[in-house]
Amino acid sequence: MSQDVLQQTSVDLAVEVGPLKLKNPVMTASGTAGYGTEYAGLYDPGLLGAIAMKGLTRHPREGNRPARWAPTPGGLLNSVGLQNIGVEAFVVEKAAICAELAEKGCQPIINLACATQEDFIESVEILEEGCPAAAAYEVNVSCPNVKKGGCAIGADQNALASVVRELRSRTTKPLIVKLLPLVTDIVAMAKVVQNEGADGITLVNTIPAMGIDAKTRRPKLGSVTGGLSGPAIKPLALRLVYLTYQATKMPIIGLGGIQTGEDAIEYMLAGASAVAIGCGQFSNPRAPLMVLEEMAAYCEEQGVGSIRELTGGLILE
Amino acid sequence: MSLTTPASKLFTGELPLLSSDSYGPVSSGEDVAIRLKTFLLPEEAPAPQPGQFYLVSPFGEGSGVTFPAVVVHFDAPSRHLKLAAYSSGLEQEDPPTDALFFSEPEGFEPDPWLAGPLGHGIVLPPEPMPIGLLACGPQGVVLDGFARSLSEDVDLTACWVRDAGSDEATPPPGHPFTPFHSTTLDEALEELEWAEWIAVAGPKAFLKEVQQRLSGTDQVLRAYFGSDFGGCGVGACLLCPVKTQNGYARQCADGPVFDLRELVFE
Repeated sequence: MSQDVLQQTSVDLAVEVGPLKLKNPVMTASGTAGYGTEYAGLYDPGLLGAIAMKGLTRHPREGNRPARWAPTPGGLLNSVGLQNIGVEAFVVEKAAICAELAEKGCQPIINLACATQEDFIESVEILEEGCPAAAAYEVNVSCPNVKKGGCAIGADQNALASVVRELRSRTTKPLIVKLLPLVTDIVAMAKVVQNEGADGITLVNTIPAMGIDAKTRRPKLGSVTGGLSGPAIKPLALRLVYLTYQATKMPIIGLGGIQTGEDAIEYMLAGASAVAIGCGQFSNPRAPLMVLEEMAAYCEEQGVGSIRELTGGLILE
Repeated sequence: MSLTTPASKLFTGELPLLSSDSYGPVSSGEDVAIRLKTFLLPEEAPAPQPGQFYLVSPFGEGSGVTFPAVVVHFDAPSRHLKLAAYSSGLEQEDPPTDALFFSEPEGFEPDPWLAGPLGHGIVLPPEPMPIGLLACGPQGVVLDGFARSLSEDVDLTACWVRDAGSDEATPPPGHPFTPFHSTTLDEALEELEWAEWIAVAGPKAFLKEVQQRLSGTDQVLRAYFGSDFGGCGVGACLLCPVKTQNGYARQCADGPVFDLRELVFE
């Protein structure tokens, strides 16, 4: 994969996630690509449509005790526990990276995974002032690996509505809400954030899960439970993207088990406007670029002039 | 940190395997052996030093299994890169994923994918001084590989501590290359009293024990931490943390070799 391939393709790869314009539909999933520079020794992250930064909290977090990962058939259990440098350090140390990414046309998306509504508000206020290059906020209310916030907000319609409402009143930047996949009615949760002015949603975060070592009779993760990602969850995530798109027509960033361009195309056909690559990068650090190249090739083969045409293009009859 | 990080900082790619060698077992009662593999490193890749580590995916890029392997030797003119790691499940049809270099079925010899060198390897002190190597279990393989990179004039003592409950010497005595001899931890620490610089590799419980036993000395202690290694390999995902006195460090980007005295064992 190279910049040449992207420049030579006849396919219009640009997409929109609400007001957020991306030069192509591929981004990295929050928590898997650090703050945007860690992979720079392997490829230019500026080639991607967006980078979702490592999940930020109001204050630094040490993260969960090891072990933080365990392989499963077709997937990966993880429980990092939102280890991060906190919003204030982010502004000092990483705002310049956001500006540099934006200069290259790669949209830096700030993933916020705060414990309380107050923390969300304070964080956005600090970032509005200190990180003007941030292209959008991804409001993470679905992290399964923290004791406060996360799922507790994402599973409560009132709490979810309140957080989005408060943030909407404090920023004009696109607000994308990363929803909790394990709820009774994903459409209801999507409509809650839609009604409060969210510009899009991300589906899905990792699925709450756990692993046990039968030989030692101990949990495989230091935090006992964690989140499942990888190809094992792709059918679950696809269904949620499909259901949500059909009911709301909201812009969706789809993710969960994307390893190939075909995987990504499936998400767009289900209703996603853009896609994110997560743990697929661990086995192939250039996976985002490979996926993008394969998506472009698919479009050329299928006679698709603009990749935006694929969103919601699932044929049902 | 800048996006202009030079691409030459890391090399990644699938490399032709030139030769393969193995010996073992290194752990009694287990099907674990040391494997040495030599690759042809491209001209554009930075020259590694012995004791540095590469992340290796044995079945090629995208195969999903990555583990660190130590540089035993790099011959600059020929670009031959020799790496060492351990292998388990040698006789199984479906090798476990915790082995780095599998014993490939006949006719199956993919080009492994390598990335590196990783953050910090085993680096000898600049001034000559008495060196000790203290190994235990499969993780000790990295020290065996490192020992092979040392010149004969290095003042070296290398001890391989028997696994708990084992009466079998590890690695097999009489191996033509290894400088190690098998011993108990008590005997090993007595032998290494004179060493000013010691590299340690073994299970977490072993590292913890050595840390406690040598807490009163002023020896420089370097530790290879090879447990729970996984994830991105470039410091992005935070899935391979090591608890230190300064918080969590990353095995791939900040290690996998650390100051043993700074490690915190929970």
